[in-house]
Parts: sequence; structure tokens; C-alpha cells
Amino acid sequence: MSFPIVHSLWILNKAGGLVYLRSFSDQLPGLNTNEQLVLAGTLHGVHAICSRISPITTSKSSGMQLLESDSFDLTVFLTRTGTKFVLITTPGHPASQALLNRVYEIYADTVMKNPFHIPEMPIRNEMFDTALDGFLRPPDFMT
Amino acid sequence: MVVHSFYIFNKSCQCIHSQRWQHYQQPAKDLSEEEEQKLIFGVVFSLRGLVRKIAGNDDEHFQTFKTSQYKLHIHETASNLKFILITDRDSPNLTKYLELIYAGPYNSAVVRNPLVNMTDERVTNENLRKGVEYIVKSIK
Repeated sequence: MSFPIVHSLWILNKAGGLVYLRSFSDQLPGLNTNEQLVLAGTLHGVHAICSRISPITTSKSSGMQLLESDSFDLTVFLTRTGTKFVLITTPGHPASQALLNRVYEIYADTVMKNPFHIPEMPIRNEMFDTALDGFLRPPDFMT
Repeated sequence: MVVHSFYIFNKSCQCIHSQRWQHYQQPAKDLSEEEEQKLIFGVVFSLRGLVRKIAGNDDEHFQTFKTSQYKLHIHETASNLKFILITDRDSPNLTKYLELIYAGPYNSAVVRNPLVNMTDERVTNENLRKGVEYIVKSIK
């Protein structure tokens, strides 16, 4: 297994719009802004349909939580308010869910406590950026 | 480990074979079997496009995804057939078993069967059903 690396972080608002996207490695190709928005919308729709096709009808299923692909893993964390945090990592990353919980904490501390932030709008916050850099960016010698 | 259902979709988005295992009594679903198959195909199709874009590679495939209730495993063949297995969420990656179903029961009961119309018909072949049953039972 390769060294676990976080490729990128997406934040989707409750309508499925992309409000934040950050890449931490150059191992996956970059996407242009239009593609990013389309993919975020697709993910939002698929996430909702996933709970409809659950084979168990006695209790409600959540949406998609983890997608395993050939060259990456995609972890989704849905908050109570409908905001989605999506982390794209190397396959078999051992702590992607825990990282997302930490990202949510930082988001609450920096973005939500900023009186100038408008909810559901794109996030531009330097404190948030530097805090994320601190623990999501892989060390230089590893990339 | 619990296996809930198994589906084969052909390249024209039709479900050509499905099997279900009912493990305990539960209320009926609010959507028909046919609608459910359409939704499953839709999810798999959209995710396929998504992973190709993210990886920037047209040969990228995803193997599984999971929610709080179930896990879906998929194996896609070169001829665009999709073999899909739905299990409980804690099972390991079972795509190897789907490959086995393709190479074993599907190959011998459908591909090598001159009576099967490969264009768009549902496969109603007892041997395929039994073969799938056998492989699913062997999953530990």
C-alpha cells in the first residue's frame, strides 16, 4: 500500500453547490471550474438516491459514505444541516472519516464563527485555509 | 455476512437477471422492482462517470460503495456487462466473487448456450440461478 495521502477536499452546500474546493496533491489531474461544479452536483444527486435503493426497509439508510475506486477513495460526511464534506484520498486511507470530523471542527471554528460569512455561499477564509494546510497537506518529502 | 441481492445489467441498461434473498420479514418497499433496478443502474452509471472524471482516466472503475445500511459491489466486464451484488455494510470487497460468477455460471449457462438470445432478453436460465446461488453461499 502506498503512503496515505489526501488528494482534495470538497465542501457542498445543502443544495449541492460547490462552496469550497482545495487540492493537496498533484497526483490526480486538475478539473476546470465547470467540471468541478458538475461533479459536485452529480455527487449530490447520487448521494440522495443511494438511500432510496437500500435493501432494508425497517430503518432508513443514510446516503453514500465511502466509495472505493481503483486509484482513489471518496469519503462523504453529511452534517445535520445538510452540508457535505467530501475527501478524496489514496485507496484504503485508514483515517479519512476521522480527518473529516476534524475538518468539520475547524470549519465550525473558523468559517461559521466568522460574522462576514454568508451561509451557503463560497468560502473565502484564510484562517480556514491555513488550518487545513496544517494537517491535510502531505509533507514535502512524501510527494 | 448477509447478501441481499444480485443483478446483471447488459450494455443497453436493462436488467437481464436478478436474484434476491429475504432473510427476515420486513415491510414491502415503496418502489417496484423495476423502478429499483432503474435507480441502481442510474447510481452505478453516474458514479462511473464521476470516478472517470476525478481520476482523469477512461479505464477507471469503482468497486464498491457503502451507506449506513448496505454495501454495493460491482464488476464490469469488457463487454459492458455489469455484475452487482448488494450485501450488508461490513462485508469486505467481494468483486472477486462477481468475477467468479462471470467466469463460471454466466459463461457456461449463458454465453455458451446457443438457445440464449443475447440481444435484450431477460435470462431465465435455471443453471445460472443455481450457479449464482452456489457461489454466493460459498462467500464466508
